[in-house]
Amino acid sequence: MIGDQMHIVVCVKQTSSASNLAAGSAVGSARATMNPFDEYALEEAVRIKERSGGKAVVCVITMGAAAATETLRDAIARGADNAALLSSPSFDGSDAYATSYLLSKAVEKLGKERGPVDLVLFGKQTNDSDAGQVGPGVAAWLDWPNATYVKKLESTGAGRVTVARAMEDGVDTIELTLPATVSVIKEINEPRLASLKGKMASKKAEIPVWGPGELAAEAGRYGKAGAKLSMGPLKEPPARVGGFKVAGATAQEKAVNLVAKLKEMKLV
Amino acid sequence: MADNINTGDYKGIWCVAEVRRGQIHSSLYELITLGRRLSQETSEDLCCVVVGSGITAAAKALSVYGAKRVYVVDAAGLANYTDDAYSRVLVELVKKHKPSKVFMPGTTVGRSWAARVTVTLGTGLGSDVSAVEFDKASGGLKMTRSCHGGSMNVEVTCPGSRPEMATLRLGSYEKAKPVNGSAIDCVEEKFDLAAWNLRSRFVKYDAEVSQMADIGQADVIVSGGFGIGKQENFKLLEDLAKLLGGGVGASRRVVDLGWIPYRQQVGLTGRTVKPKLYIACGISGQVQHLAGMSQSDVIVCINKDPEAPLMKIANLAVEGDLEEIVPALIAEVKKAKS
Ligand SMILES: Cc1cc2nc3c(=O)[nH]c(=O)nc-3n(C[C@H](O)[C@H](O)[C@H](O)COP(=O)(O)OP(=O)(O)OC[C@H]3O[C@@H](n4cnc5c(N)ncnc54)[C@H](O)[C@@H]3O)c2cc1C
Ligand SMILES: Nc1ncnc2c1ncn2[C@@H]1O[C@H](COP(=O)(O)O)[C@@H](O)[C@H]1O
Repeated sequence: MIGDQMHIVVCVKQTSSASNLAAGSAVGSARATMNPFDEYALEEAVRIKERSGGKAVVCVITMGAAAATETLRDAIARGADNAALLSSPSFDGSDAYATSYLLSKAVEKLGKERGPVDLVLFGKQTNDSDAGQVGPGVAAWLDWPNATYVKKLESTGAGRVTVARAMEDGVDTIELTLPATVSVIKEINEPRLASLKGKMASKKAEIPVWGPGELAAEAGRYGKAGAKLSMGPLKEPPARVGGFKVAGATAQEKAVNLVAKLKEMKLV
Repeated sequence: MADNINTGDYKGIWCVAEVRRGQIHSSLYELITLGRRLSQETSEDLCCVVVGSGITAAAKALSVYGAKRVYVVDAAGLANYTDDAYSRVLVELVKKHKPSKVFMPGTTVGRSWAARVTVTLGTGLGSDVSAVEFDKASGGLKMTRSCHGGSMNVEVTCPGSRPEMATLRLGSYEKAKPVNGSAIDCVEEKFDLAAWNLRSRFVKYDAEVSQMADIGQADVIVSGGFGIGKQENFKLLEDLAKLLGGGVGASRRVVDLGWIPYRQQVGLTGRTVKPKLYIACGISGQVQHLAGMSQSDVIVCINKDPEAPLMKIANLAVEGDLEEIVPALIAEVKKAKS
């Protein structure tokens, strides 16, 4: 809390995955942008702030290269109050374990300097790693309760939130005592575009850069030295060999031929 | 957090069950298929882990799957999954028994649970892994998973820490069949949950009202895209899916239009599925959709545009108007089944 107001941190990552591309764009033209899944986390934080009459404080953090400042400015343009960049050459090679360590150190720092953090929001996963590990990982480092795949988040009285979690067979409702971390999914909201006022604010915002010193990060916990997982090179998955055209002059004939094929494959 | 460990101190292959609404989830049998193979290759024991409430009998019944041992944590306070309680339980079990490998299901529960546990233990996790190989030379696992929205594959290893952990993408392994197993050693572990500083409380569960199979587990998925023309046409797809014992999926475009709930969206921002048969109706097949379904065993595409990207990768491409083809198909499947 900052005074009597919620202190919310949103963790976003800048990615330049091919899957950021609008459909139809040429491969290789991927531009580095905010991980699309994190837009929902940011939007949710901004909505909580709006419900508080604009008093809650939303801080956005990212661990990445200097260029990731662009994504932080974008987040401010979309309603965040302030931002910090966690960056150092020694952070290179961080995996989910090391990344969640660094983010947890930033949350601790924010808590100490500006007032205890109540809620840390994450996207479902990053679109380059497809992993979904960092949210629960930060909760583990901080020893906070957490929930993932959250499609609805409500404040239920002082110091608590209730979350609806999308399960394969329905919805689980869980109550978390704050502080907590929550990873959200697309269903939770419809992210807004940057406002003109926001864009102005984002240009002026001063974004501090925190390295291992500022974060009081312990050597051996981050970067290549801290990573637990070792990653090989990216490979194209084996291409699908498709291409059997189901023949037939009419819909009826095509249906007959298709079912015959499916029977052959023991699928019907 | 365990640093500088001796990896040789860790022995045993664990398959962790998801218990959902008091039942062992069928994904466990996929983990067991992998676990059995690795048990032969490494001569380490195959063990199961079952956490829940009122599940001891079901856990003992796992003897028919050839597991040597089952660790059971059966407590009223564990009737429903919450991240902090379940994670603490698994962390304590791993610290006590030191398995070398821990496999968990690539479900909502499994993925969340494993992510928290690995960081607390200080080890690595392969998320949503589709293939696991034991590498004799290094004595470790090579885990293949997809990344970049399913467009790339990568092999990950966990060289310096134990246990090696992975969540397995549903459908990556066949479900194990019972074998003539010998008696299972049932190790019941008790924890004083009240003494733990647990700060999440399960409030309630609301069942999915749809009668359709969940697409995460369905063997057959019939999916609809913008080409179905109108929301009412999902009825056609449902009829076909029901006949085939499957579920209904969708592209994002129709989810965004509100024609079908988000939980049925397949793709990058939706769900990743790997059914035996995926029938795409009126879906063009943009990369973001392919990210969620390109690992399906057999893809059928029904589209009036032969140049649509999905038509090119489909095993069976049917060119034509789905409003004519799907009803004809329903009639044919009915005939085939009678
Ligand atoms: C960051 C990001 C994330 C995304 N995530 C997802 C995701 O998770 N899932 C997803 O699906 N999309 C996702 N998309 C959107 C994706 O790029 C496509 O826009 C979307 O998949 C297109 O949906 P569609 O195939 O239903 O529609 P369209 O592309 O419009 O295709 C409709 C198809 O129907 C065919 N058709 C039309 N009429 C008929 C008829 N009568 N009979 C037979 N065929 C017919 C047409 O030939 C066409 O091929 C994402 C996009 C972005 C930028
Ligand atoms: N480098 C990073 N900086 C800030 N947040 C991150 C970073 N990596 C991951 N996250 C957050 O953690 C979530 C899950 O990431 P991942 O485990 O990589 O799939 C993302 O949606 C982000 O909210």
